Amino acid sequence: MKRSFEDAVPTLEANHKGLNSYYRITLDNLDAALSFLKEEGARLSTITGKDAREHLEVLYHFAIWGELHTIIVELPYDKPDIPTITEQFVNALLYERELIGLLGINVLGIPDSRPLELPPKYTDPTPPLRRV
Amino acid sequence: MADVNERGFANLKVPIGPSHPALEEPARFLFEVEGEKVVNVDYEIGYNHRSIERLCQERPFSKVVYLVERICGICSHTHPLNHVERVEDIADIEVPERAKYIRTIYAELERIHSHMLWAGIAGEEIGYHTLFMYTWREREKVMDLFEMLSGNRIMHGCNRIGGVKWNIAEEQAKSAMSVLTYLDTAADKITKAVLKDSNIAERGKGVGSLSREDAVRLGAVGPNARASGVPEDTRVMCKYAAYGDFDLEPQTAKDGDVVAQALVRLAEIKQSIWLTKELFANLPEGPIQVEYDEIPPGRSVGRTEAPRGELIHYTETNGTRFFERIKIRSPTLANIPSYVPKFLGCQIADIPIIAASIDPCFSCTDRMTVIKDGKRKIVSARELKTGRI
Repeated sequence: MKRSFEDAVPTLEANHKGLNSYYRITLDNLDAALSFLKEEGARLSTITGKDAREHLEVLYHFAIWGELHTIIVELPYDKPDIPTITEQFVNALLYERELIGLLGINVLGIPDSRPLELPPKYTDPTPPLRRV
Repeated sequence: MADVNERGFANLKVPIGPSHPALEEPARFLFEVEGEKVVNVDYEIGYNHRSIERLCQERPFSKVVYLVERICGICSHTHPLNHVERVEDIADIEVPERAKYIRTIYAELERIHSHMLWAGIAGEEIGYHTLFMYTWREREKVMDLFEMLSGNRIMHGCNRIGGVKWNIAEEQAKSAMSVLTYLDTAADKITKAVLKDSNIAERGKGVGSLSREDAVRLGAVGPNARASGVPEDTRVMCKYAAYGDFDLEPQTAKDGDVVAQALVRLAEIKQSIWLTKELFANLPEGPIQVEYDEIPPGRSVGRTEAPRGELIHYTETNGTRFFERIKIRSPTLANIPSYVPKFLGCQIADIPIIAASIDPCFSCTDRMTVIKDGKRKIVSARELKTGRI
């Protein structure tokens, strides 16, 4: 990455180790982070959803040549809403559909909200990767 | 009722799959066709869904290595390789050089047999069964080589946290070198058979094309992206295992069609044979594993180049014997969006070869929770052993 992420986007916490960087940001700054990474020529590698017990976490992994930059956003249990990033990164669709099905995260504005892996008749109210 | 096209006819919808949709794995495609031409496509995956990520969080460290090895029968080395590298990164475990070389040897042999498998299947999809027989015969030599090195053809059980389990004796290295020399000649013959054949050129040229712009936009990875001219190869970019010791060039082509896919994979077979010989010739002396005390809390995300492209593992530990989270993104999932531009405008007869051209692997793609009768079910070790799930 040519420019510093922390200088361009308000960051709560940043860690660097080898080729990996992790940036914790608030949901309000997600748009700014995505625009910055788009300008830097990043490719969305995947999205990880995680039940961190006290809240939910969404981790966006971006690749720039050998480097991996991970953006971490926290979501409250009672309002697990996050906007879709398919407008900036088209290939986010399948990964966001995974978030919907396996962690019960509401991805707002997603063009196709069918859960990716779960069968259509899946009725269990608890998503499979939630801890409770 | 189906939509009516501009000529007043309803487009037909042709479902293909989920059983054997031109592949021996389950996935469902729904093609909307106008005459013989595909005008729309939808896909559905998840038929091979197995609970791996959740199970990884409920098994102690030592057992998870074997579990991730069973995600996929073809990538049975690159999954555990990525997994152990993540744990070693978290715990700052310095792996001995010899272990890194042995890991890389297995990874490259895996690439050779996987690409040969693909070439055979691609030949079969276009009715060229001789190519299938020929490549699979040579692939058997690699499987025998695996059996000689690890005792197993598919599940090698090679990786462990801190190194590898199986050492390579001098006699084994000698035998392997002679097999690799044979394979080098065989790879030349296969390449010649594919590239000089006018039938393959006619069936593959311009079929299932993917532009460089689309490959970048849709996040394509591995040989699928390289066939469209995107020079991204994780072995070159990340230099994990022993790849930092060798100069590798990403093998690319321009057109992104079936012929370009074949060009890239055949070149990679040759490259991998060369690299494996170098690895055997320069195998460092020394131990093959180091001991470790405990795994501290931490996180690591990293990539390896599976035969089908970039494989990414995200691993998080919490200081206990169990993982906090393991996330696996297989290369096929990243390559699925590129099916859409590949299929649009193609003929129905070309669907099988286009479906096979990205070398999809749905075992890797559909992992995680087992769903039975609409309910979540955690699979016990006994059930896994007996198969009564």
